[in-house]
Amino acid sequence: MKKRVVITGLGAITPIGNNVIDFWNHAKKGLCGIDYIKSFDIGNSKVKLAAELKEFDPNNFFDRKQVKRLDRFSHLGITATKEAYADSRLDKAKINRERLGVIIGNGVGGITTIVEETNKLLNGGMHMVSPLFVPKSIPNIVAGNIAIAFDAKGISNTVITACAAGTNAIGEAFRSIQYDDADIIIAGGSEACITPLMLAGFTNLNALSLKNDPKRASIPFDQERDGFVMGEGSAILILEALDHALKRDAKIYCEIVGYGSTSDAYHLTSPAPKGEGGARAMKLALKNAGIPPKELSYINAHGTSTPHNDQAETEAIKTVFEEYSYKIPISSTKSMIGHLLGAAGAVEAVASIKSLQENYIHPTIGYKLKDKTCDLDYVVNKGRRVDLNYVLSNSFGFGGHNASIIFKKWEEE
Amino acid sequence: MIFEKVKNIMMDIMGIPEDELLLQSHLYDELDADSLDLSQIIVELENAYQIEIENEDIANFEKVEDIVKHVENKINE
Repeated sequence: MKKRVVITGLGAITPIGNNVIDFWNHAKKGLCGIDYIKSFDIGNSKVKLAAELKEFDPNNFFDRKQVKRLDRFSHLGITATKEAYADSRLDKAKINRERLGVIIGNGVGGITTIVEETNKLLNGGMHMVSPLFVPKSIPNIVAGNIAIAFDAKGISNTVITACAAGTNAIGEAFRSIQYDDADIIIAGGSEACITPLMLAGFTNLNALSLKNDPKRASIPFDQERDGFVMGEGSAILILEALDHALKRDAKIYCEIVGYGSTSDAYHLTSPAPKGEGGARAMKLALKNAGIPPKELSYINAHGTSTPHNDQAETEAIKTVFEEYSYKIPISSTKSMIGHLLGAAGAVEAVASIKSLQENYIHPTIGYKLKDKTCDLDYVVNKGRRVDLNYVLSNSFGFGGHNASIIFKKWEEE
Repeated sequence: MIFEKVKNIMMDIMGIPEDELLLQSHLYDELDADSLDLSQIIVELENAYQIEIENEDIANFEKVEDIVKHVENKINE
């Protein structure tokens, strides 16, 4: 029989708060974490905005050696894990560390390091490249570093599905515990992508918003939306087998009950017509959860603010929920924190779980103009208090990756 | 002076305070170095002095002075 899986710890470092409490309080208020890029000179870039972290200094969390040895995406992942691990009150001495795993998603790995070392290669020659280049920048190293830092000797895996990676990582961790491959898994995503190279690449792909007003740039489902805004950060969840959590009398946030993952098999960057791949992911998650669509209380949308995504996601929701789709509240965390690529699904899982816990849906901020093709209930500009039982979170990525996950409110049984 | 250079590189890479870095300090037992630290130190020294240090020589380094002497010898070769 499959094991039941619950969440027993949360950690987050986001553009609107460097821990879960600050992130969630600011999300409920609808704080905008988007601003003019400060971490480097953008030159003549058409895109001027991003959602950067505020006041994150790795020197406050790591010794000098670790500051130099690890890329920012590892710093962020480990920092969020520290919070989640402490929150879960796991006792290192009492758990079987061979059954403690790590599954982390990311999009672009240690891109800062890759660029730095490429410059050394081109300017100085091969002998100038740091021996740290490979172990600092490979995309799996954040999971490796977390495993080392927390002595996690069980499954250790990395999910690379672009902007779906955070949700896929949590979903794969859910499956691993269901099938009893681990008692506990540290799962989530980490991304440190705000660099000139990524800015240029996404800009030239016409993926980013060209707007100049931080409050009107990431505007999911709004008629004037014109692209996403890059964000950075990390979120980590502690997933645990229910019996294991009960035995140690852990605080339980919620249960994970459904996961669906599909591919569009259609286009490099555009969603399939009517978001059919996303619709199938949602259907699979509902089937896996064993609930009819009408049981769902809220959708934390992928909602990127690109013209294609938001329309396709809306159509996908209509395909799955039919007439009931107009009655489900939907919101997009990206309206406040931009798009954290491979960490987006993980931060949005934290938002979904806090929503369930507090019966509160954070708003989709910056919304002004209704789009005929996006006509659902997007909880615009002001949060909403409503009883929530099942929450679904969507993530879709370049390459046609789709992932949906369903969380269920935890009530003492 | 080569010892000064080695010291500065080790301070930068390993985050060790200057007063703990002595010629007699043991790289592994006292300074807690690992293979990644050594690889970085060697690359820095090779580039600074335009020398090449062989892997089998690196394996024999035990104390800070072993590195300093080896670099001195290489420069004088």
